[in-house]
Amino acid sequence: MEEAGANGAVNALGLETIATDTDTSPPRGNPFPIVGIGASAGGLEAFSELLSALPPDTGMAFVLVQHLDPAHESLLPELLAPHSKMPVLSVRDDLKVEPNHVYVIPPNTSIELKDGTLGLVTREPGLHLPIDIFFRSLAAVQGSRAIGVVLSGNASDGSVGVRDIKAECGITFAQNEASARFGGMPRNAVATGAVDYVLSPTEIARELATLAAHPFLVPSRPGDSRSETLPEGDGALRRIFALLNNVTKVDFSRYKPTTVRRRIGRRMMVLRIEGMQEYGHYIEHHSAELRELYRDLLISVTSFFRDPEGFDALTKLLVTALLKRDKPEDPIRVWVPGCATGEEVYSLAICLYDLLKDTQMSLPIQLFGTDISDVALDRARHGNYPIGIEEDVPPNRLRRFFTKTDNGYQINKVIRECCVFARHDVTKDPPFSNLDLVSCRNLLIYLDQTAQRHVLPVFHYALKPNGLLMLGSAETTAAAADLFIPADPPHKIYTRRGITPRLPLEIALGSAGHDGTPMGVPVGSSALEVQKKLDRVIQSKYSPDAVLINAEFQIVQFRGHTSSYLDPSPGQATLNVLRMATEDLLLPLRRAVQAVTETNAPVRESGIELTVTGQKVRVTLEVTPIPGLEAGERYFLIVFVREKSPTELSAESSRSESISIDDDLLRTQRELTDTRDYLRNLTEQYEVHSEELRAANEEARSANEELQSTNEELRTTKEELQSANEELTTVNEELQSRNQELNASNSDLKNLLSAITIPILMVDADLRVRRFNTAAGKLLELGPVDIGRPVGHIRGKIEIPRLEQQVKTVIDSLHPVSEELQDAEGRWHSLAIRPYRTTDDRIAGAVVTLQDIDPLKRGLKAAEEARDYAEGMIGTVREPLVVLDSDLRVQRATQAFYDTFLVKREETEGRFLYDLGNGEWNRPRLRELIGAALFRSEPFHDFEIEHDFPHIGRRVMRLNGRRIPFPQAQRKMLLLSIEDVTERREIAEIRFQRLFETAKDGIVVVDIETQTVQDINAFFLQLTGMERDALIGKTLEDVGAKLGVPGIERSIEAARDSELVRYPDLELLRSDGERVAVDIVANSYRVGSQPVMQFNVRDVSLRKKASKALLESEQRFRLFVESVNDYALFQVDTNGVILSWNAGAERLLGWKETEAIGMPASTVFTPEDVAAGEHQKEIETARTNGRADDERWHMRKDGTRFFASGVLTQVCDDQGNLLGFAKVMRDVTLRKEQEEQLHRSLSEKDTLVREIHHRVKNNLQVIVSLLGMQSRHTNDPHVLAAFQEAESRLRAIAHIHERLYASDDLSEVEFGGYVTALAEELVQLHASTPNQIQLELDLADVVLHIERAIPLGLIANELILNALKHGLRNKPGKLVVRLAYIPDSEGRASNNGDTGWARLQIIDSGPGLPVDFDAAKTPSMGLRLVNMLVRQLRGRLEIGPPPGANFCVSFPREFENRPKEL
Amino acid sequence: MKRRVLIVEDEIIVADDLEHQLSHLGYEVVGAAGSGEEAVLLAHEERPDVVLMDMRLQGAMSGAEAAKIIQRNTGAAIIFVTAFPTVFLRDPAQMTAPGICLSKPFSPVQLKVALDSVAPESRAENQ
Repeated sequence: MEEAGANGAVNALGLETIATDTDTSPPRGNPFPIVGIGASAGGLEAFSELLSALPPDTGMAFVLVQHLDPAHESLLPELLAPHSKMPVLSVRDDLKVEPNHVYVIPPNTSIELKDGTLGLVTREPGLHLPIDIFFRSLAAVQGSRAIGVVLSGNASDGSVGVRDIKAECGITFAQNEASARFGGMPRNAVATGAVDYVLSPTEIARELATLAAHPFLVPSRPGDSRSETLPEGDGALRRIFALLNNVTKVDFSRYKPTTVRRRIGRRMMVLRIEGMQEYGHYIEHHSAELRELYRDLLISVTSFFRDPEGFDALTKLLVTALLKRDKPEDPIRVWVPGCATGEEVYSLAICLYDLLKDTQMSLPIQLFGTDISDVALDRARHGNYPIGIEEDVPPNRLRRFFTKTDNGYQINKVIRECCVFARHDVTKDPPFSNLDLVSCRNLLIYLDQTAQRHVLPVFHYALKPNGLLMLGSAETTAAAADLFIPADPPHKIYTRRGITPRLPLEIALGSAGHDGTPMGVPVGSSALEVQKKLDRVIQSKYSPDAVLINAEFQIVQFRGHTSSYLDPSPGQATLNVLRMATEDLLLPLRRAVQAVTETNAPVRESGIELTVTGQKVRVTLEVTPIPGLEAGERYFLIVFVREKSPTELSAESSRSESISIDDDLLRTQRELTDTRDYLRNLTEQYEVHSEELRAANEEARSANEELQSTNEELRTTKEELQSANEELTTVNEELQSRNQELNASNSDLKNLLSAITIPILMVDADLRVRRFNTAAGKLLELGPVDIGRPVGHIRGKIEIPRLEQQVKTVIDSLHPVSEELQDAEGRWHSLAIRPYRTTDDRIAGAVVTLQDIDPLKRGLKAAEEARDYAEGMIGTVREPLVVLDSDLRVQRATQAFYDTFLVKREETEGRFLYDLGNGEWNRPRLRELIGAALFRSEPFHDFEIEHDFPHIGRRVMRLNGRRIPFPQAQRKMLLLSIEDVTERREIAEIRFQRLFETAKDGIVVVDIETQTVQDINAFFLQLTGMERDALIGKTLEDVGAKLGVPGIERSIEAARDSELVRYPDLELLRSDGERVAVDIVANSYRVGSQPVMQFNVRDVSLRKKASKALLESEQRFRLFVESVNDYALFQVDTNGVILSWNAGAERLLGWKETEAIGMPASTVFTPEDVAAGEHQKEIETARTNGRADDERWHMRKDGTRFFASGVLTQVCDDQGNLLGFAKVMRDVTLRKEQEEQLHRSLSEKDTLVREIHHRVKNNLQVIVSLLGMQSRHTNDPHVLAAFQEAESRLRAIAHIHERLYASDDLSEVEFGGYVTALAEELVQLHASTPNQIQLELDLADVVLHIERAIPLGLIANELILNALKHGLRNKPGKLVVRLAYIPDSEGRASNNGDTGWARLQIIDSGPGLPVDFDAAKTPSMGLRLVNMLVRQLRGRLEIGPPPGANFCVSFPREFENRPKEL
Repeated sequence: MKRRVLIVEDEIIVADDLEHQLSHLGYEVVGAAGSGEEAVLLAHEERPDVVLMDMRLQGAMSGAEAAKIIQRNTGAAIIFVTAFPTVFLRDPAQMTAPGICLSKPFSPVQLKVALDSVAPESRAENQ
C-alpha cells in the first residue's frame, strides 16, 4: 500500500543529490559566458569576419578552436589580432580565462576548460576532434553559460559538441552555408537539431553581442540566481504546460520544475523575451515555438557506453541474473525508457551481444527503446551517428558493430534488428512486461517526486522476478524504496523485490488521458498531494470497511477493518472472498454479487446477522460495480455496514422478548423459505451453468488442442526455415570465400603469366585459344579478340607447322611434344606442347610454350665452331703437340707427333709421358718444368733436349709447355709442343761461323770456366797483328796483358751481373808497337751447356779523328757567332729554353750569357706578347714552316723596349730530328720610329687635305652666295645669265672637290663618275625640256689627278651647257658624252698606264655648228674658256663632223715631268 | 599660307643669300641660326615647317644632332645643306627624315627642287 510521506526524508535527500548534480545551473563555471568557436577549412576568413564585428566589451570570453597543421607553428593569433579590439592570446596550460579576451588554440593539441582555466590536452593519435573535445568541456563547466559556434569547415567536428552544449541549456550557432567557404561542418552541426541560430559570421557576432546583455546570461549574485533567472509566473507556466500537453500529449507539469524553467529561460533568451508572462503570450500565438520548446525540453545527454564502469558492473550482475532465471530459454528482454537517440539502447545491445558470446549462451535479445520525442526515435531507428562517437566507443567495438558512412557511422544490422523503438510516455502509458532489465538513466531527474513515485512501481511491475533496474548516477529508488533492493549501490543498479506488483490499478487510474480525451487543466502537483492526503485521512477515519474484488472474487484491496467479516481460511493461502467470508456472510454476499453482475447496479443486502467475537451483530452489505481498465473487466466494491452493535441488539431483544419470540419464528420461517427458494434456484442455475461450462470447456480444450498443434507446426516450419536459411548463409559464405580464393588465384595466374617471358598459349579441348600471356601475344600476334579462335588459325611471327594437328596428338596421346623452330627473323624457339591437366586430372586441352632458345642455340653453335676451329688448328700445326692430363698421361697427340716420332697412336695415348719410347722425356729438369707449368701455371719455353730417339735417331727437340686454361680450376691439362730443331741448330752453327769469320769487329771467345781463349776471328788478328797460335788456349789475363789492357779478365766477374759489359775508349797495343783506339763489348752466353764470354773489339780510331775535326770547326764557328755584335744570336731548345747566347744578344738584350742560358726565351718578349702566346706561336710557326719571321717589340733586362726584326729557324740533326731553334734578331727601333713618324704625318696630311677640300667647297658656296647677292642688284638678263654661268662653273669645280674628298688618296678622281653626275645635274637644271633630253653616256674608267680633273671638269661643264643652251634648246634630242682612252701622240696605245692619252667627246643632236665655226676664234666666253683649258691640258680640241655639234677634247693623262709624290 | 623655313648656317653671307632665295621662292624665313643650340631654341619658338640645316656649325652641337632634336620636338622636315654630303654615305644614322641633302654649292633651282620635294604631307607623316 502506498504510504504517504513515509519516506519523506529519503526523498528530500534524493532531491538534494540531484540538485547539486545537475540542477543549479547558474552558479557553475565562470560567472561570465564563454564562447567556443570552432572552425576548420576556411576558418581564418570566418574568424576574422566574426571578430571584426564583435564589440570589445561583450563581457564574454572567446575561445577559437581551429584545425591546425600539427607540424607547423601557428600564426593564427598574429593573423587575427588586427581584426579584434580584444587581446588575442595563444592558449597555454592553466591559462585563466578572462572576459573580453580571445584565446586561440595552439597546433597539435586539444584544449579543455577546467573551472576557470584552459588546459592543453595532448593530441592522441587517430581522429582529431578538438572542437568536440572543447565544446564538451565547455558544456560540462559552463552549463547554460556555454555558447558554441561552428564555422566553416569540412567533416563533422563540433556536431557532438553542440549537442552537449544544448543539453546543458547552452546556446549554439552555426555559420550559414551561403557565407561559409566550406559548409560541411556547420551543415552537420545543424543536422543534429541542436543548433539555435544559423547565421553569417557578422550576424553571429551581432547576436552574441545582444545575448551578452540578456538576464539569463548576465552574471548574478549568488543566492538569488533562481529568482532572477525565472522572474515570475506560475500561472504562465501552467498555461504553457497545458498548451504543451494539448499538442504533444506530454504532461510536463510532472517534470522537475527547475529543469523546465531553465529550458524555458533558454528559449526566452533565444527569442530575446525577458518575462515568462510574455513568453506565455508568445507561445500561444506561435505554434512553431511550441515545437521548439518541446524539442528543447526533450534534449537529453546521451552517448555510447556512458559510464563504462557502470556497464561492467551491469554485465556482471546480468550474468548471475540470467543464470537464476525461471525460464532460462526465454528471450532476454530489456527496456530503456527515455532512450533519446538510442545510444544507450545500442550500447546495451552490444554489451548483451558480447555477454552472450562470452558465456556461450544463445538467446534471442529484445531491447525496447522508448521516448516521447518522435524526432529522437527516428534518429535512433536509423542508427546513424556522427564521427565523434569514436571518442566513446572502443575501437574494437566500433569496428565490429559499426559501418563507416560518409560522415559518421551506422550501427550494424545485427544489433539494429534486436532493438525496437517506440513512442511511449513512461508516466502514463502501460509498461512493457516480463523484462530482465530496465535501464532508465537520467530520466528520473527530469521528473518530480510524484511522477517518480509513479514511475518506479511501473518498472517494478514490468520486471521479471529478480529483474534488474539501472538508474543514472544522480538517481535513486527512494521514491519507492520498498520495491527494489540495491544490488550495486555505486552504479545504481537494483534488483526487483519479489512483492506483488501493484501497478495495474495505478495505471488504470492514471491513464485517464490514454483514450485520447484531453485532460483539461491539470491540477498542480502540490494540490493533488494535499487532496490525496485528505482522502487518506477521511478514508481511515470515516469510511466503512470494504474490500475490492474482481470478477473472479479475488480481493484486490482491503479498506478499513474487515477482519470481522473476512477470515483467512485454512489450507492454501487465498484471497478469494468466498473462501474468506464468514459463514453467515457467504450466502448474502454471493447473492448480492450475483445480482450486481446481472443488473450492473448496486445491490444492498441488509439485516444479515453475524456473530463477531461472541456477539451477534446485524450487518448491511452493499455491492457496487466498478468498471475495469479493459473492456468487460469489472471490479466490485463490497462495503460492510454494521447496523447495530450486537450488544444493542441483544439488549433490544431482551426488552421486547414476548413479541420477539413470534417474530423470531416468523423470521426464521421466512428465512427458511428464502433459503429453500434460493437453494433450488441456485441448484438449477448451477446445473445449467455446469452444463454450459462443460460444453465450453470441451470446445476450448479442442480449440486449444488445435491451436497447439498449429503452433507446433508453425514452430517446426519456422525451425526448418531457419535451418534452411542457416544453411544457405553458410553455403553463401563458403561460396564467397571460394570466390575470393578464385580471384586470388586468378590474379596470381595472371601475374605469373605476364611475368613469365616465355610465350605461353593455352588451348582448350576444342583446339581453340583459351588463354595466352603477353609474350605469346607478341610472338604470335594475338589480341584479346583472338581468344576462342581455332589454334590452327594463328599466324604470328613464327610459323608453327601443323600446330593444330600436333596439339590434337598431344591431347590424344598425352605425350608431350617438343621441337625447335626458327621464326621469320631467324631466331630459334623451342616449341613444347604438353597436355593441360585440370586439378581433377582431366585433360582439358594443351599448353603450348615457345621458349626463345636463340642465344642458347647460337652459343652452342659458336662453341661447336670454336671447337672445330681449335681442332682444325691443332691438326694443321706442323709441330707435334701432346695434351697431358694432370696424371701426365697422354690425352691426345697430333698426327704431326706420330709422324715425327714414327710411333703409333695406340702405344701413345693414355700412357704415362715418362714411359714413352725409351724414356726420352724422363729427365729431372723437364719433370720440374712440367710440374711447375701444370700446377703453378708457369709456362716454360724452348727447353731443348738432345736424345737418341728409338726410331729416328739422335735429334734435338725443343719443348714448350703451357697449362690449358679451363674455367674449372680443378681440371688441369698441359699442352706440350715439341719442335725438332736438329737441322736448325746445324744451320745456325754454320751461319755463326761465317759471321764470326767475316765480321768487321775483332771477336774473342773465352771459356768462362777455364778463362782461356777458345776462338779468335780473322779480323781480330788483323787488327792486332797477332798470330792465332799466340792467343788460342791462353788465359784471358795473359792475353789482356799482351794487348796492353790489363784487368780485362775482371769483365767475366762483371758480366755475371749484367751479361753485357762495355769498355769504350781503350787502346790496344798492336804487335808492331802502335796503339789502336777500340771499343770493347763483352757479353756472356752458353754454347750448349758451356758458358762462354765473347769480346767484340771495334776499331774506332777513324771515328775519333773525325770527331776531333768536327770539334775544332765547331769552336771556330762558335767564336765567330759569339763575336757578332750587331745581331743577337741565340739558340733555344724545343721547349723554348735558351741554349746559347752571343755577344750581340748580350749587348742588345742586356742579359749576360751566364744569365741567359737556361732562361725561357719568353723573357725577351713583352709581357703583352707573352700573354697573347706570341712566343709559342713563333715556335709553332718555325716548327711547321722551318722558319718564322717577325717584327715586334722586345724587352731588355732593364725593362726598356726595342723594336726588332728577327727570324727563328729550325735546327735539325743529320737525320732531320728537330733539336731546337736559332734566333737572329736586329734592333730596328730607329727605322720603326721613322716609319711611324712618316705614317703620322701622312694621316695628318690626309685630314688637312680633307679639311681644305671642305673649306674650298664652303668658300665656293660663299662665292656663289656673293654672286647671288650681286646678281640681285641688276635686272639685266645678260648680266644675270653671266652670273648663272659663273655659278655653274663654280659648281663644276666644287664637284671635283667633293669627289676628291671622298676618294682614297684625296688627289685623284674617277672622272667617269664625275661626268655622269655633272651631266645629269646640268640636264636637270638647264635643259628647257629635261625629260625629252636623252642622255647617252659611254664612259671609260679614267682616273685623273686634280690638276687635270679641274680643267677637264670645267671643259665638260662648258660643252654640256653649250649643247643644252644651243643645240638642244627647246627641243627634244640626244646628248652623248664619251670618255675613252686613245693612243698617244706617238701612237702608243694605253688604257691604264700612267702614260697615254684620253679623249672626252660631247655630241648633241642639234642643228650643228655654223659652217665657218672656228673654236679658236669664237667670241663666246664659254668656248674661249674651253680653248684656254685645253691648252692648259696640253691637249687638242677638235670639231667632229656633223650632224650636231661634236666637240672632241684629246689630252695626255699625265704631265711629262710631274713629280709622282706630293 | 606660306611655308615657314628656318635657316641654320654659320656662314652669314650664305645665310643671307639663302634668305633672299627663299623669299624669292615664296617661303617665309622665320629665322637664321648659326649654332645648333640656337637652332633648337628658334625651332621651338617658331615651329618652322622646314629647316635648312648646315652640318658644320659653330658651337658643340653638330647639324645632325640639332636636326634630330628639332625633328623630335617640332616634327619639322629637315633639309641638310653641306659641302660634303658623303658623310651620310659613311654614316647613314646621321640622316633625318625625309632624307634630303643639298650639296654646297647649290643653285637656286636645286634649292627649289629640294624644298618642293618636302611636301606638306611629309611633315604630317613625321609628326
